[in-house]
Amino acid sequence: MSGWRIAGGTGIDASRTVAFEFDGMRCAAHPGDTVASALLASGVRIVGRSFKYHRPRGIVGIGWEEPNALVQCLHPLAAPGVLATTTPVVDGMRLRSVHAWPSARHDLLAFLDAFHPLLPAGFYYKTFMAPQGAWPAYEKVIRRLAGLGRLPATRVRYPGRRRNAWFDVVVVGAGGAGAAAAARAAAAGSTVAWVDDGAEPGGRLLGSPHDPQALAALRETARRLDAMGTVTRLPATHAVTLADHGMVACWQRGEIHTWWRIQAREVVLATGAIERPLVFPGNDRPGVMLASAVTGYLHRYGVACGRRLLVFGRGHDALDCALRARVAGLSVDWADPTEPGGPVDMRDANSLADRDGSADQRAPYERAAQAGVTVHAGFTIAAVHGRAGVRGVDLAPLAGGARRSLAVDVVASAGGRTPSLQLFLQAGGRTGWDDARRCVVPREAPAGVSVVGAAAGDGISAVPVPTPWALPGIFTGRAFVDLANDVTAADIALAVREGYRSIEHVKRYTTLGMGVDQGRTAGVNGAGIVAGLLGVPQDQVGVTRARPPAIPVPFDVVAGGEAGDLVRPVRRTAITDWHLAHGAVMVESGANWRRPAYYPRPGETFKQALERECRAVRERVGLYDSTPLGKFEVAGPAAERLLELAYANRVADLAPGRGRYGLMLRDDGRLLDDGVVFRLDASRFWLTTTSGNADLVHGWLEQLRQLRLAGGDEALVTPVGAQWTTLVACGPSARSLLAGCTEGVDLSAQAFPFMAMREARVAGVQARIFRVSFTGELSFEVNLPARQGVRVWEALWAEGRRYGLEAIGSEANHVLRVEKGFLSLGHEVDGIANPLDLGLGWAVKLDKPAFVGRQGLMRAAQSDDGRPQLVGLVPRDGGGPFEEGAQLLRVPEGSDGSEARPAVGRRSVGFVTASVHSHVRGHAVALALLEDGRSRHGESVDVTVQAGTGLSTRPATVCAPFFHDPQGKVMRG
Amino acid sequence: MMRIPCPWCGERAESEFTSGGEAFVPPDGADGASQACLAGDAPGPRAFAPDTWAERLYGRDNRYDAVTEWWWHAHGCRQWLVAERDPVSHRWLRVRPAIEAPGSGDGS
Repeated sequence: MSGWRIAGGTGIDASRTVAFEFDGMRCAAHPGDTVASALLASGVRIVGRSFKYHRPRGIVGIGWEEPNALVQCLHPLAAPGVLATTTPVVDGMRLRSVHAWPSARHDLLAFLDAFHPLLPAGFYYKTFMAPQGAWPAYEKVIRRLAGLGRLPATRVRYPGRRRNAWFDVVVVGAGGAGAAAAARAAAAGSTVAWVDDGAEPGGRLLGSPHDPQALAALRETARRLDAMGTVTRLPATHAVTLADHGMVACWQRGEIHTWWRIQAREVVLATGAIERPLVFPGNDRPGVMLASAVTGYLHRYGVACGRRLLVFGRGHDALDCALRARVAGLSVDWADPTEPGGPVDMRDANSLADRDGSADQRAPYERAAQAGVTVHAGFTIAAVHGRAGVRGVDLAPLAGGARRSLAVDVVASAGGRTPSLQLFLQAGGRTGWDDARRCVVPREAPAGVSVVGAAAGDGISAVPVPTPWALPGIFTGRAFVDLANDVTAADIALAVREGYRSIEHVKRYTTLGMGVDQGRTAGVNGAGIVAGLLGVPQDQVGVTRARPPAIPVPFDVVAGGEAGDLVRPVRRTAITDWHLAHGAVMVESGANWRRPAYYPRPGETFKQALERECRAVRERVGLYDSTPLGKFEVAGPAAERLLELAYANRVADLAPGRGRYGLMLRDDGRLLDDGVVFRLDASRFWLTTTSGNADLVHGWLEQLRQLRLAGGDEALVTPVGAQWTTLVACGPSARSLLAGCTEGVDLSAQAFPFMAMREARVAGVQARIFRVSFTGELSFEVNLPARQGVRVWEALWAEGRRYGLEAIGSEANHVLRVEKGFLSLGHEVDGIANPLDLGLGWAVKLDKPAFVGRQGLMRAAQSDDGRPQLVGLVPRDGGGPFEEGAQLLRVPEGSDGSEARPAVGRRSVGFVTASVHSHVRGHAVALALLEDGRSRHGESVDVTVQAGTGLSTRPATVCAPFFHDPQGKVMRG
Repeated sequence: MMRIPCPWCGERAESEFTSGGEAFVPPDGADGASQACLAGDAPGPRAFAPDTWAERLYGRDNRYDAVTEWWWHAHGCRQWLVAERDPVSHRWLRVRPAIEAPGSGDGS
């Protein structure tokens, strides 16, 4: 046990206690503690094992810069990868260490560390080469060894929601500079979003005993701004992404997590500066911590991390730590690895200022000595003793001489501060190296982004610290640069030796900075070592690019509560409940609609249900719900001109109440959509389109109307798909069925011809009835105000009993339309075929002055040879339907085309677009696109079929693309 | 996420819009398009006679400085806009409705 609780922690409520469990050990804590402070107070030194070598590791920092203390939370929220230093303790919490078994203290894989000479950085690039076949076995083992934490067995939900907001200014950070920036912006009248990842404002001031007045003033500012309506303060909110145009994405923690996407004109980054550790041999032992963290634990949480402290380093953080520790009663030594005039820089480069030991340099030593600190000026750490935790260190003088041994149990490493610039770098900001202050500073900010405070380098004094990475012995001893990924200084030297010069390459080769902490305490040190080894200024080496998110964010949080059914809301019709109640199997079809595929009776197979439904339509009458159809009303004096432009067919000569099949083409002459267009009156038209294309056609019509039609403002396009429920009764008895429920219209063939529209009352509801047919049978499409749909459906259903009415789904529809050779989007209309290919030349009026696609079509007709043309296929081997998408291959010369042949090495001349078993014909039929197909009726062709893992073929005969009622007599009757 | 100044709706987020690409003169039905493509200071779509059909159909200028683009405010007023934009800095130089109805906003 080394850590213990002292009085006076400012951030905890010492009067109450909470209990939690870590690796089976019961620990006590106070409200306000983080998991890390509670573990330290309970004397837990080892919180996990390192990534590669399974070395025991302890807590190093006090915030997001922590590289070691990842724990697995079992209760209340089962989640891996929880950072102990930023997670508040909750009563009854259960935690486990990660990457260690059975516990962090006693890990079975600890022996791996003995093999460390064989496991340097990048060892996996040189091993596991042979035998190649053994890789799957290696991978299994490696996967078990790697990885931090376990995913819970059951799905864990972070309750979340999303918020989008616009502000004039976003200020990230609630330290001194952040508060000033927020106050400034608010005073200027801007709307401000003030984001901070702490539960209360204060930033670094919360952990520092230095300046209580500044903290009080900051709290007062926060109170004042809270009272202003224009400032939205977001505590416990971490800004994780800064993207173009001032987009800031933030994770606000709470009972419900909120994912904020904030759009701001100006972003002010007051993200502070992180303390850097020094790199020395043995610096990864549990007990080696950041000086500011030691101070923070003492001041904020009332936790002493040990009894005998060694402060190693220089600067404000070192002095603060030494003084505060003395106040708490620890015995404190301070080793300062600089010496006036001594060799301090391994490059032997520019001389440092103040080498003559001026009064300024001596002042901190005097203050410390007065407080009872033993100062060792000019000493560095040569070795750290104690494997399970620091027991003692050996100090060696930089100028040479006798070593000193100290018995200590905590080492506070103070290497100076460096601005925290993840968001700045994400947005593409450019940084530079300030040699005097030994830190990265922002140089060129992207538009709309500014950096203030310690993040800009303010308050980081030019202290003549030696390059903190330039201490002797770091390449011979085991001096860790990146604790998260077990990267030592020797590894970086290895990378440089192997020829990697760019910091991005060194990063990827050694995995420096690729851990969960994103190299916050490692990156700058690593870059400095690279600079020293290459002999170049550190400005030239630069820093690696930061990418979002700045901290790990669960996917659930980003989804913001949009999970499961909410991801893609499904569209339903007024009849959907009836379909479900009658056993329909629903499928998702285009544009998020859920439609019935077929209605199996109890005990029926799919094939049986399909046959029953198809026969009903061909022999009696069927009813289906066609509401997802895209429907539009186009009105106005310019409506006719718009439709003449949009359709390849003629529209102007339609009489009121008459319609025709219409094709919409793209500019290149290919088919965009097919549907019907009806004239309702002189300046009003009704259009239908394929259900999956409804939204696309809407955009297309608007584009034509607004961009291409002169005077397009005199036409109006209104999508009315959801306004009308569309029911279709089709089959020989459709007329009789409808007659029994309809009044106000004569349904006979003479009075109500094919492709006409009538208005009537169906089951008491005013409706528009169109005589159009998709199935090829006598068909009436009844359009009703949407909410009345069920009433009419049920009336038709009741009336339909005597006619043997069946409800039919999309599968039956598919069979019926293939038998008729009608087109369907996604099958024949594949984006490549044009109307001439599909045999629809009759629907294209090339003598019209202008319509979209006219020129493209004319060019294709004149110049293209061997275009794929729509044909029908019938198998010659009596087998079942072909696979949709199967390729067509020419039968070789001299063969009669009746046996199966291998498919390899032959050129494809087309493919099958649709393939079904036709009940009317009693065998399988298909539609296909075949090169020069129209001149090949009667010929044989081979159709590919899957055979094991390869392809074989089946013989087929090419025929005309329809298999039932070619003249369309039935549907026109 | 750009903010696009819709002349009807004011500044709206980019996610409300669908891009219609660089303005061009389509081969068919171009009388309205020629009007819509003229946006003022930015150079309009190429007026040259392209050599090939593919160029005529698909060729675009793709400039670094101001481009004339078509944008559709799909999740807003559903109006098409003709915009001049600097593709490097994403600054919107001029936005106006494509359809010049009487009383339509100028958008500049």
